[in-house]
Amino acid sequence: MSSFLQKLPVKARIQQLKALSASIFQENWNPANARNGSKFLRKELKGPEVVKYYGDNSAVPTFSDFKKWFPELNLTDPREVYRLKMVADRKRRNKGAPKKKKEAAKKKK
Amino acid sequence: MPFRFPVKFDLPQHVHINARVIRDQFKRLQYNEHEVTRNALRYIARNTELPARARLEAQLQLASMPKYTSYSQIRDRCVASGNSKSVIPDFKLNRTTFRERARHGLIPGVKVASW
Repeated sequence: MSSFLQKLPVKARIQQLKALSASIFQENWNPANARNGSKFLRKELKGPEVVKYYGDNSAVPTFSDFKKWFPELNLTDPREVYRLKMVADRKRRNKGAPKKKKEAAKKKK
Repeated sequence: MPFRFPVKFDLPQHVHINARVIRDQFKRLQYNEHEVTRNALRYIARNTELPARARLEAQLQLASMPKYTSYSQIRDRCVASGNSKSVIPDFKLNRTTFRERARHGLIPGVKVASW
């Protein structure tokens, strides 16, 4: 037992052992902490999760989907009807949306 | 009327729509498409064990990629108002819309704190 403690392997030998172990278990071995950019390759891709932020369009049907599927029902969206009524009221009162710049320039000419 | 982005995509349907929300969605889609390329270029540019010329070329190519492919341009927006400030990430809501919905009981498990 005492001979083992007196004759520990040299540091170089231990390094060899660690390098071999890393190659066997397919790990990254970087004893000098050299910047080899492996951290960018190690990371998971986060694109798919980022794209899902605003939700899945096909998860829930909208009113326009129902209109397309059942045209014979002649569905009317009350929110859209209300919105169009407000737009018409504002136009009648001369408070509608202003003309786009191009159209205004054309009219001026 | 031509689509105002280089690539055509469907607008998100179950969210408050806003010009900024549309722009953010476009950036997310483009980031997803180009993520692998960007990661590869970044790896080449940052790897000190590669020749300097390759690293420089990779860096230039990375800089010349369109800005809408960068992750830092993406910003989480409120799903109810399109606002990008004070967005609580767990609910994807702005602090004001969060309060409105929570007060109406529309957010499960959230009630006025008192202890």
